[in-house]
Amino acid sequence: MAKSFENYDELLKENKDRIFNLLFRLTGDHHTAEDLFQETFLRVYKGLGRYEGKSKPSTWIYSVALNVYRDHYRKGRKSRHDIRIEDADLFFSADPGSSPEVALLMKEEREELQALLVSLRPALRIPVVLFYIEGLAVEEIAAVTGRSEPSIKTALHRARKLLKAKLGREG
Amino acid sequence: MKRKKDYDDRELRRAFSSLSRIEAPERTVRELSERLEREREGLERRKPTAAPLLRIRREVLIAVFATLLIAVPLTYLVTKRFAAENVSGRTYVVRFIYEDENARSVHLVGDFNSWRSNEIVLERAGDSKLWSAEITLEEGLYKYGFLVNETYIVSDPLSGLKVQDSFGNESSLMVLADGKQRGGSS
Repeated sequence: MAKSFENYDELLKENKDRIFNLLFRLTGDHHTAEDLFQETFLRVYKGLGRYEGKSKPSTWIYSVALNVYRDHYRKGRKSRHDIRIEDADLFFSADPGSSPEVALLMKEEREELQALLVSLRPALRIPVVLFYIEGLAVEEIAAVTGRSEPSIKTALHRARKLLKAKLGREG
Repeated sequence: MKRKKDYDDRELRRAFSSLSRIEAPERTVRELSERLEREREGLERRKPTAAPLLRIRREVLIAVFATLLIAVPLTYLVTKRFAAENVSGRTYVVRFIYEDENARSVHLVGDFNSWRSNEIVLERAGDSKLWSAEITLEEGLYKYGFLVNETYIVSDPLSGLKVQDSFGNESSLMVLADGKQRGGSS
């Protein structure tokens, strides 16, 4: 077992929030994200002996989480709860000091953004979440998804065009 | 009515940065810890029974290991042209071969098993770099790949037929029809 993983609890502590956030942004559903989160860390635990330390622990855990998400998506498994974007409102932070009108507009924009995210097909959604929300570089995204850098750049370009068109349209 | 905005990349970055980071709920982390605890206990219980067995059958294991080391690569060389065998009517026995000396584990995933990652294990041929598994399939068109180290999926290097899946990853394509195989590890 890799020495860096001797303390599994520390590994969990360091990565739990970013992995949960990733899974929530990918699924748009809190309860599904909880299920996938637990599955991810169970697989991480079982796979510790196979981790060779060639990549950063966070990169490896991202890969495992994306695999869990991929499995879930491919099985066409229904979420325990239907995706309701309004649920996401529970998890948007309020901006202190903003007026109720401004807060409402921002809330609408965030809801729209989350809805747009889950409407993207996974080949585009994953790079967008990793790039814009998790702040990973293109080469890191290529590493965790097992895709080439040009493929990630193309996906981001396509996603940008779609998002800009949808966010910029008149509603 | 929303104001029409000109969303440039900076605007997208700003919009995404407004999404707050969602922390893992404490209840979920607690449930995970309990599941892990059960997992650890399960492993602990299995350990004492496994160790004496390994000690007693050491010679047998060495013999099996040596046989596999020679026999499996040899079998591979002999049978690689017949990766899919039409055994009866529309049924085929398909052998999948994957070559990777650094892999720690390899699983076969595909639409024939709903991409379940822990179902079909490829066995390593002794100490070699060859991994293989044999499954029975009905006539049809299948997408598949190899899950390496339970981390990433790669397409079959031995197959010339590839397609891109909905995740942007490359999958291999195999056609079983008319008693023949196209694509796959042939």
